[in-house]
Amino acid sequence: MSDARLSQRQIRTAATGASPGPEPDTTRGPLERPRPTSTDAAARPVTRPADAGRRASPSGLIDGASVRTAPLGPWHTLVTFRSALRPTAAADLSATVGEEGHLPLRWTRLDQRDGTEDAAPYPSLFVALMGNTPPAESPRLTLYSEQATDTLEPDWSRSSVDLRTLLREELAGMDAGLRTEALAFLAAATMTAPEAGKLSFARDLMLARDALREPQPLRARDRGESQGLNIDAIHAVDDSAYWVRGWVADGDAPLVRLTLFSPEGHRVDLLDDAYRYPRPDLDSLFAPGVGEGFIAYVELPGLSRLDASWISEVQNAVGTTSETEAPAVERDLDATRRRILMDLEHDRDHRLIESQAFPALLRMQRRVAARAAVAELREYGRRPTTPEASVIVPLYRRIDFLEQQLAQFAHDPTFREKADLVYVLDSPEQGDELVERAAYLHELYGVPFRVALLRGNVGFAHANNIGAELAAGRLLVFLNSDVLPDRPGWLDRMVEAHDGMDGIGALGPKLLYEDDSLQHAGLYFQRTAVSGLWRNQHYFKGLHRHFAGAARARAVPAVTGACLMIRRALYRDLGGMEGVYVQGDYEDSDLCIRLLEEGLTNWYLPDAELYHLEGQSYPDSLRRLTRRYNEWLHTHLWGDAIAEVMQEARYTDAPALDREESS
Amino acid sequence: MAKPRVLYIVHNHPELHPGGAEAYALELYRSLRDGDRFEPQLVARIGPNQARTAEPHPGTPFRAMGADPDEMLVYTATERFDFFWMTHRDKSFYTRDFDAFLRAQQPDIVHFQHTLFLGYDLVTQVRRSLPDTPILYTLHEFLPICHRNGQMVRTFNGERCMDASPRRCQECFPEIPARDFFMRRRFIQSHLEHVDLFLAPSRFLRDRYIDWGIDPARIRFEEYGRRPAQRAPAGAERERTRIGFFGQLNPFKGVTVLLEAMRLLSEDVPGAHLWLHGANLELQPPAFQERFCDLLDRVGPSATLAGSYGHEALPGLMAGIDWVVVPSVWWENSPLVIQEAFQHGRPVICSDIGGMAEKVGHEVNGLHFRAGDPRSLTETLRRAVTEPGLWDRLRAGIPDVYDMEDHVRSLGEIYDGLLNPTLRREAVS
Repeated sequence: MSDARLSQRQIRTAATGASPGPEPDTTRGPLERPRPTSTDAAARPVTRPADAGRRASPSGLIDGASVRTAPLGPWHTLVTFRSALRPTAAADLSATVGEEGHLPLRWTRLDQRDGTEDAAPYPSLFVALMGNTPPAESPRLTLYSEQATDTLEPDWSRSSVDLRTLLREELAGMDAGLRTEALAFLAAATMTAPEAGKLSFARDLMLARDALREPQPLRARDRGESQGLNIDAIHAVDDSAYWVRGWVADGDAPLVRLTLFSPEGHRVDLLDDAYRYPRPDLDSLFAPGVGEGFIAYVELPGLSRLDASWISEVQNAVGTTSETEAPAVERDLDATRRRILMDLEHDRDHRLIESQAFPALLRMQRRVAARAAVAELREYGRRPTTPEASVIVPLYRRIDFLEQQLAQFAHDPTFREKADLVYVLDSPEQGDELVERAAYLHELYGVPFRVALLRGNVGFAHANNIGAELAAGRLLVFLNSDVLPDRPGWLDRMVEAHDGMDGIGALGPKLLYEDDSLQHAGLYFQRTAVSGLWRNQHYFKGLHRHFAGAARARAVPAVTGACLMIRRALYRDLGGMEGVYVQGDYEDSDLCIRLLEEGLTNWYLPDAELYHLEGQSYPDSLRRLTRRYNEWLHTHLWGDAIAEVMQEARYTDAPALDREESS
Repeated sequence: MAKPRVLYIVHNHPELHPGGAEAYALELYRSLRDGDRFEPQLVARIGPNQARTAEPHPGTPFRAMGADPDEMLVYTATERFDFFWMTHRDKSFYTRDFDAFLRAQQPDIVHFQHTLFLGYDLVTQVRRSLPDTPILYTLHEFLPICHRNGQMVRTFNGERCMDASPRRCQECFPEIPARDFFMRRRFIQSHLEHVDLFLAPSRFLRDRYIDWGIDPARIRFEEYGRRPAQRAPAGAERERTRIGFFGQLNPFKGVTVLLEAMRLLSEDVPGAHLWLHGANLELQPPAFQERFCDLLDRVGPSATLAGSYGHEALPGLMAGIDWVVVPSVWWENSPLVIQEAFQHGRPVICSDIGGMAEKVGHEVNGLHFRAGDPRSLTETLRRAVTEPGLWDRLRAGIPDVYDMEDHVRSLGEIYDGLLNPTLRREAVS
C-alpha cells in the first residue's frame, strides 16, 4: 500500500470517528512533523464531496500568512489562522488530501473585539484541531461559509512551530475570557483522542492549560489569612467523572466562584453544585464558621488522564482570588467507592446522597454492569438433564464455603438428582485457587456442579443474574454461600410448596443462626424514625427456632435473597436483580417489591430449614454508611410502593398476632 | 473363602513416636494378624512432626514400614493440616492418593483408629472409593467435639466442659466466630455420617458423642483389649505407703494437685513416698513448669521425680509401688494406666470424674477423690497408706483386664455382622 493511500484511509477513518487511530509511526520522532511533498503552495479550489457541484474560489477569507501550526500529542495538530469571516456567518472547516479525504476539523473562533456585526474586516482568530495528520502529504485547508469558500495550501514546514511558542504568540496575549474559551475548546478534544498516545496528548493539553489559564495567588492556609482553599482528595469514578472533597473559607466577602481545572484544562464549577457542610476543625485557622467543607461529584466535558496538576480556584465578591493544587487523583475504584460511602457521614438530610453520591455510585455500578461477563465455565460431573431447580450460589472471597456446602449436599440424594448447582465466583482473583480445589471436591463428594468464573468483580446482583442466565432449571434458587441446610430434603419441600401456591412470586425458607435462633422468617418494611427511610426488617429475628409464630407458612412482603426460590421465566421477565445497590443488600426486597407490583404474593415457608451463618465482611462504619445509602436508594425507588404494601393488615398485624398465638 | 481384609488407619506408628492409641492400634493389628480369621493391614500416618526423616517418595505419600507387607506408612505434611477443621488442605491426598490406595487394596472392612493429620475427609473418601465396605471408627478422644485438643476443659478458667456449643466454644476462643464452630461440627459430622459403627472404649466417651449428635444405635461400648502381662508381685508384707504416678507431666494430668496433696500428707505421714514416672515437663508452659518445680521442692524428700520410662520397664516400676494415682483434672477416656495398674495388681486412686471414675470402682478396686481438690486427695492418700487391710481388700477387688484375645473375638463378631448384609442392618440399628 502506498503512503498516499494509507494517508487517505487514515483520514477517512478519523473523519468517521470509528477507530481509535493507527498505531504510532515509530519511524518518526514525536517532534518531527510531516514534510510537504508538493511545492505548489498556492491556494486552489477543491470540490467538496458533501456539497458536490458547488465550486469554491480563492476569496482571501483566510489570511494565508497567519497560518501557524503546532503538534499536540502524537496524533493532533493545532492550527491557528486569522479570518475576516463575519462573526454571525455559519462556517465549516476541513482538511483535504488529494481529491478526496475530507476531514472536518473541530474549530472555534475567538473574536478579539466587542464590535458590532458591521465592523469589518473581522480579524477573528480561528483555532482548529486536526487529528491524524497524514505522514506524507500536507493537507489543504478549506473554509466553507455562506459568505465564501476559501481553500489554502499552507506551507506546513514554515508554519509549524512548537506548541509552547504557538500558544505564547497567538493565544496567551488574549484577554481571560478568550483564553478560557480556547482552553475549553482544546480540553474538549479529549473526547476524540485516540487511546494510543493519550498520555502525551494529555500532557500537551496540560501545557496549554498552564499557558492559557490566569494564574492566581497560591492559597494561604495560615492563621490570619481571610481566604483559604484546599482540595483534600480527588477520586476517579472513571476518566471523566470524579469525586472531589475539600474546604474553602473566605472571611471578607461571599464566594462567587469555585472552580476545578483538570490538567487538560477541563473546567467545572463547584460553587453551585457541590454539597457544603460545616468544618468546625477549620475554626483554628479562620474566624469561627467561616470555613466550610465541600464534596462534589463532577462530570467533566471530556476525558482526563493525568493524575497530577489538578487545580482549584476561588474568587469572592470583591474579586479576591486564590488557587491551590490538588493532591494526585486516586484511581482505584474500590477506594473511590469506599471514599464516597465514607463521606456520607457528613450527610445530614440525604442531600449529599441525592445530589452527589447517587449519580456517582450509579455511574460506577453501571460500569460494573458493563463488565459482567463469564470468562470461563467449568463443569464438574454430569448435571441432571432436566433439572427441577437451578441453585445459584455466588462465591465472594470465602471460597471455603464451597466445601462446606458440598459436604452437606452430598447427603441429600434428591438434591443430587434434581438440582443444577451453579457457583458464580465474584472474586476473580481466586479463580485459579477455586479451579484447583473444585475438581477434587467433586471427586470427594460426588455432587455435580458448575463454576462460572467472571471477568471482574460484579457484585451480588450481577453474579446472581449471570448464574440465572446459565441456569437450566424450571425454578431458580438463589442461595448464599454461607447457607447450609439443616437436613436433606429442603429443596423438595420448597419445590412442592412453590408449585402448590397460585400467584406466587418468591418463596423463602426458615433460616437459622448457628445457635438455633431465627435469622429469617420473611421480611417486612419499617420506616425509621430518624431518617424517614424504609428499612428491611426480619420477622421474629433472634427468637427461637421453634417459636410458634414462625412455624406457619404465610404471605410476607419480601423474603431474603440468602435463599430465594422463583420461577426462572418469571425472573427473566422481571429482568433479574437490580444491580444499583452497593455491596449486596436490598436486591432481594427490590425484586420482591417488583413481584408485588405484578400482583403476585411472596411466601415464607417454615418447613424448609437452613442455617444462614451470616458474617460481617467489612468494617462497621463503612457497613453502616453503605446500608444508609442502600436504604435511601431503596426508598427513593420504592418508597410509595412500600408505603402501600405496609398498609395491608396481613403484613403489619402478623408479628403481633403471631406473638399472641405463641403464648 | 478368602479371609476378610481389615484395614486399620491410624495417625501415627508407635515406633516413630510413642502414644497410647497408636500402641493399641498396633497391638490390635498384630493380634488380628496372629489369629486366623482376618487379614489385617495397618496404615499409619508419618510426618515431619513425628519422624526425623519423613520426606515422601516423589509421586506418592505411601511407603512401606519394614518387612511386613501389611504395615504401611502414609505421609502428610503437618503444615498442610488444618487443626480447626481437622482436614488436610490438599484434597488430592484423598481423591487421588488414598483413592488409588483403597482401590488397589480392596479391604473388606475399614476400621479407623485415629485421623489426626489425616482428616475426617478420609472417611468420606473411603465411602466414595468403596461404596459397600463397612466403616468402623474407634473414638479415642474428643477432638471432634472440642477444639481445645479435645480436652473439654475451658480455656479461661479450667472448668471442665460437657456442653460444646457455638456460643460456648467461642467463649473459649473469642477470636473464632461462633458460626465457625457451628460449621466445624457440621463439617466433621458430614464425614462421620459415613461411619457404620463407632466403638467407644468408655461409656463416658460414648455418652459424650451421643450428646454431640451421634445416633446411639451407631456407637457401641467396647473396651480396649490388652495382651496379657506378668503380674507384678505384691511384695513382702509391708506398709502400703508407696505411691506412683505414670503419665505426661502436663496441667491436665493433675500432677500439681498430687504434689500439693503430698505436701500436706508429708506433714503427718512422713513415711509416704511418691514416685513420678513421667516426661515432657519441658514442653509445658513456663508458668506450669515453675509451679511444678516449686511444689516439688516443698514436698521435699517425700517425692522422687523419676522421669520417663520404657514400656518394658513397667512391671519393675509397678512392683516398686503400692498405689497408682490418676489425678487428672480433665475427663479422660479410658486411661491405659488404669488397665496397667490393674494388670499388675495395683489399686488405683483417681479423680471422681469421667473415664477414670467409670473404670475404677470406689472401695472396690480403688478410691475416688474430688477431682482437682488437693485436700480431698490428701485425705484419700492418708487413708490408703494408713488403713490396715485396705490395700489387700482393694487388690482382691481388681478385675481381670479385658484380654486382647477376647477383644479380637468380640471385634470379629462385629466385623462378621457388618459383612453380612442382613446382620449389618441389625448391627447398626
